[in-house]
Amino acid sequence: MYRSEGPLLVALLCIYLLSSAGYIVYAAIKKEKLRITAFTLQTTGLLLHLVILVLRGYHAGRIPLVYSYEFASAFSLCVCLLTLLFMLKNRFYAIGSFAMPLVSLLLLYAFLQNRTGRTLMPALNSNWLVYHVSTVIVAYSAFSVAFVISLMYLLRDKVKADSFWDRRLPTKTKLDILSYRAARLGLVFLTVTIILGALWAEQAWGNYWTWDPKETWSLVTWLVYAMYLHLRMGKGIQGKTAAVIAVVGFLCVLFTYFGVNLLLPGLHSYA
Amino acid sequence: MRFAIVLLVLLAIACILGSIIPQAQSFDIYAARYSERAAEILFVFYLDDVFHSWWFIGLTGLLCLNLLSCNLVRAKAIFHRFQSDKDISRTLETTPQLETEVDGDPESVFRKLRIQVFKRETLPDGREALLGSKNRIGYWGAWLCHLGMLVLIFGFALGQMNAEQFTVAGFPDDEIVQQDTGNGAMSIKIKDFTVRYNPDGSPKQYITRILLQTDAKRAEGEASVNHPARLFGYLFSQNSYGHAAEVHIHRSGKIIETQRMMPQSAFIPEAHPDVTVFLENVLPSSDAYTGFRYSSYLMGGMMGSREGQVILAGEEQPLIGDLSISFTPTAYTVLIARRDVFRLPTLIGALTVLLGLLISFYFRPVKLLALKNADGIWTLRGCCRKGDAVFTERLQRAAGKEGEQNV
Repeated sequence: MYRSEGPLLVALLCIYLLSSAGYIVYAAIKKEKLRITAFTLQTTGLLLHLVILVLRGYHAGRIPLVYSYEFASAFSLCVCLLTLLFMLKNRFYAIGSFAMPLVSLLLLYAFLQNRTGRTLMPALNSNWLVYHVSTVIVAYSAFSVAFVISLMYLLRDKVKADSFWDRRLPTKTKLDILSYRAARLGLVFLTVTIILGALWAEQAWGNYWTWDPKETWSLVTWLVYAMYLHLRMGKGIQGKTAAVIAVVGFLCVLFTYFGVNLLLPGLHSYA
Repeated sequence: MRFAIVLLVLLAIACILGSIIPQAQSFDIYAARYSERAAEILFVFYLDDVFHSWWFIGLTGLLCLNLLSCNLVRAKAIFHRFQSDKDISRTLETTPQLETEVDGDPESVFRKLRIQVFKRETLPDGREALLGSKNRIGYWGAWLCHLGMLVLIFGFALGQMNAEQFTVAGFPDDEIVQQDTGNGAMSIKIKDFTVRYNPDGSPKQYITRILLQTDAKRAEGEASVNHPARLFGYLFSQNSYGHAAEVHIHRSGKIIETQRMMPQSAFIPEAHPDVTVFLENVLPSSDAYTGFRYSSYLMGGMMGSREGQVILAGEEQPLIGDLSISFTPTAYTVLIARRDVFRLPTLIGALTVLLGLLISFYFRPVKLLALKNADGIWTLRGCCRKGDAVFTERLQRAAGKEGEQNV
């Protein structure tokens, strides 16, 4: 799109990878300086990422949330941002060792996509795109954070008392609470996404729900997380069961994002 | 609760099947894609039309019954809990999630947790008691969510059963009469169809102007992508467009006849009624190089190559005798007209679900009871919904019982 985008992305990926490495080593040896360095790298990366997206939007003359590259990049940025907010609010820095590699992976996926600027097709030329896509990015990001925390829980569950990991991972209670917080945020935003998507579908296609594969899998994801939160709030089921359901939910998110585009083309094919 | 979870799992599986298995296809297509045996199984279990199958509707119906019975059964208990949060004696009967002693002024704990003390009493046994609660609206969160789902499902189902939908496809000046609409017979005239282009030649917008007429009224509107026309209670959406052709019959260098044709349609020229021209396909690239594949028949027998002929836009080819044929590209519009009187209740249901979720998640009812023992020590009893470790942790912190540290 603009000449410096490629080199900037490479620089950003390096920063995220260094931050990931920093957090992983911090998790192992618990040196506060390492945490600060990893955190600084993460924050710097986040700001650079924002600049890259803003520049892209400026050159394209629109909000950069369309097509694979822009979506993946925005997704990566949002996961990084939510991770940062979770860290600051809960003083929970160990999450960086799991979340930042995911952020890096998403950015790498974005980097491998076609970055050529394209004119928007008429169906995507709408304000609805900004509302719908931005909420889905927040939803997916929240589910991603819930996923990494649940992974940490499941790892914590496996380690023996007073072992290396036992001393370095947060308590299971803390992990459980934070996973719940992330999942509930995700479900709220996914609900908003589905509502906005239905309203937009009616404007664009004449019908608000056609059982399009993307719509259907969004519903499947919603049902899985609704079950997770229903079991949690109704039956008080927490811990390992909740973590496993959160992981399954994230697999649904991955299929909704990647699998549907690759395997089940439909009206959402440009997404 | 358990049954509801089972239903949600089954519905999720049904949705997955409905998305993975191509829907509404013929037996032959399934047989070719999978196998004949598999195709038979698909049809037996209605997997070719999952979302309209009796078992999917049945599952949804059971879910609705479950939601309804849950709401009816729990309404009284929820109301009782909603009211009892202001009652010290009832709170004493509730098993607390956390009971802890606090050093110093208990009201500081209330302030830290942002719980307003609204009752101070001396109990019959002489103990001083302070009671506060917050987020009582949270008791209604799940109830509201269930109600929203019921309204949404009913609205959607009724919409699917009663919605009117039809397609309007044609060229400018075409008139389509739709019988048996909610307004009786309705004439839809396509007044104009325009394609606007970006500087790079890609389509920017498709715009169709339509005129609707019934016996009683008429109205005109414009539909474009993402900007449907709302006329007579119908939503006319610019759903699609199609590449078409204007076929010209020439004699002695002059065009004597012109007809617009959509792909897979036939045309019999007045100049030679024994000839039929069949437009198989339009092969668009850019306006200058659009190609057309067509076949021509003389009294039912094919003329020319069996694969048909390809002709570029503007090019002239001999047809029969002194007649020749040429094609120029054009486009036809496709609108979807839909009227669904239940879309508003469906939207209200969806918004109610959202509101219910927000209330459930972010307005967790908690109450705090502080009791002063005979020795002057205050004991705090924190009560919240089960599974709410968040409040337990906050109460511990507010009471000075848990240190904060980076993890």
